[in-house]
Amino acid sequence: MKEEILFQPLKDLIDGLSEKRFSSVELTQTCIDRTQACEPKIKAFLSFDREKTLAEARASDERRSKGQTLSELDGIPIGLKDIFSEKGQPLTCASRMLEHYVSPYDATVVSRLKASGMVCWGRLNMDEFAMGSTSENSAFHVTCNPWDVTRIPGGSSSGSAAAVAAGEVPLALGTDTGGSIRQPAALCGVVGIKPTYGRVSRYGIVAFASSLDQAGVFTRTVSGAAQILQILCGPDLKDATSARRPVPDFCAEMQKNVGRRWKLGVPEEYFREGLDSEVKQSIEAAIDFYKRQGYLIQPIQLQTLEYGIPAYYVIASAEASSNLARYDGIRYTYRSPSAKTVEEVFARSRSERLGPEVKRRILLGLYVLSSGKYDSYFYDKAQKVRRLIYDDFQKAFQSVDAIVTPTSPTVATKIGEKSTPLSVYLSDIYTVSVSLAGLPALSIPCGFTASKLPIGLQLIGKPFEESTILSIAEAFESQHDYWQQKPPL
Amino acid sequence: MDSSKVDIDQLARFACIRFTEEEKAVFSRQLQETMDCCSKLEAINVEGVEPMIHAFTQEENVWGADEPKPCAPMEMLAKNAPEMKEGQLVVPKIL
Repeated sequence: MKEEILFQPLKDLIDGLSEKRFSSVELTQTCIDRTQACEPKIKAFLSFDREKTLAEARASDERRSKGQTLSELDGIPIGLKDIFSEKGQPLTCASRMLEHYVSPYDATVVSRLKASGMVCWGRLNMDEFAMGSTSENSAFHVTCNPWDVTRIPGGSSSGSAAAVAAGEVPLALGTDTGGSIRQPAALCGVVGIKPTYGRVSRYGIVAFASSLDQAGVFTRTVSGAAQILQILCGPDLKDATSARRPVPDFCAEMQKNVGRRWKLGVPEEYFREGLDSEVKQSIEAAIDFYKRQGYLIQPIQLQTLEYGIPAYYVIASAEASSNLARYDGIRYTYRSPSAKTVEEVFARSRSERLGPEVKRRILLGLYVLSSGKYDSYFYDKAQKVRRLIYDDFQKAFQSVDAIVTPTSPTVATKIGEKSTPLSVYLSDIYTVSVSLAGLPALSIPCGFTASKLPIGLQLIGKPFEESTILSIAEAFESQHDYWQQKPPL
Repeated sequence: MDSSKVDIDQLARFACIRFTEEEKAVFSRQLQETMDCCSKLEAINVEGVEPMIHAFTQEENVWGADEPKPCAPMEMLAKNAPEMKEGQLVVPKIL
């Protein structure tokens, strides 16, 4: 079976299985072969279990032969960021702290994939505990961008984006706390969507910043993202913050919306200093495309843009310092062998196994939560500023259906190019405000630089209106071939 | 922001993380740079603004019935413990 199939839209894979042009085992084996061929260069995976994955594919083929498929996605392989619990499989969160941890249960999203018959292939690399946007914070190795292996793939869902871009797997799950799906999707030239906060259960996903964390998906095409979201979304009794709202039929909504002319807001603040000129050109060309299609393009203001980074890093780090207190050497696999007292168990285990970026975020979180700083930075400021950011978006959405911006101010940078933590944080400028406001947003490929590096367009929607941004994204995708281009591997 | 207020020793104690003197210098400097960036927040007028503790403020929480249900089996959970004895987690002597 040709690996070309792994670069096709999800619909082609579904049709191929249902028309019995190939089996799930053949499709899965093609993923495995492609992964083996690409991994020496890309290093998107932290681990994989061929036998388990092929057994799932065989079970899918068995169901199909009996006419008992669980869904149209039965037998389709999907990769998991190494942050999702999958029973019996390793889960490291790219941290030495969890190097030998094995998940005792399935995350709700993994249960839903399995209930649909999907085949889970591999554990994908990431920045440690999802803290970072380059993959350089993985405790194990750096993932390389398939478009230029000397460059970062973005992060923190680095392996998910790189594996889909390289065709190692047709789909992958990721998580997005401040841009960790959208930014790597942009830098690797694939589709990445973060649904509204609460749309997807967080049960069984390792917590980073609980008021921001949200699972989503990487795919080659927009319709594929809609199909996977359909499985993932919906309330879950195991996550009290999962939304009770009914989940619309995303694909049917998109079908209904074909030809609709939306009103798009373009915030001028996102096109100022710091935006790479080739990225700017590409985004402006995309906006021009929508204009030619009859969309109403309206300049808007989002004056809180510059507050996003400080508010995000205060809030996310505060939550992280609390969430990561659980790694104490008592319950999660690693305990320092030299520790004799309880205090030493805590301190030595954490000092020996948490990476530098994780330590930085814990320190920052503890600083802003400490007496005297709590009022001035965390509660009294950052959380009120979060409200201002939310209100800013709400105001904009009174006059537009969606907002269009660049996903990242630059294309993928060279591995090691960003020398300070702050310079990495600042690259999240276009994504963090969306996370603070809990809005749905996606990134689609909208062009390439002269040196053939992908550029991503971000579409931001109103709360729970994923269908709108999916429809607008598909209108662009259907008239362009950026998604069909393959990295030179 | 006043740099003298970053007390790395105190933060390290809170964090239960030990640092070498060299690490303390690096982390202090990086923390300071980040806090200088975050100090932008100081200038923002937030008078009368309600803090937003969560993006979920418009939604109702999902609650389950308060009934016992089976959870992951003990032997599976225990596999991740650094040390177990007779079905219990072993920790160093506390008192």
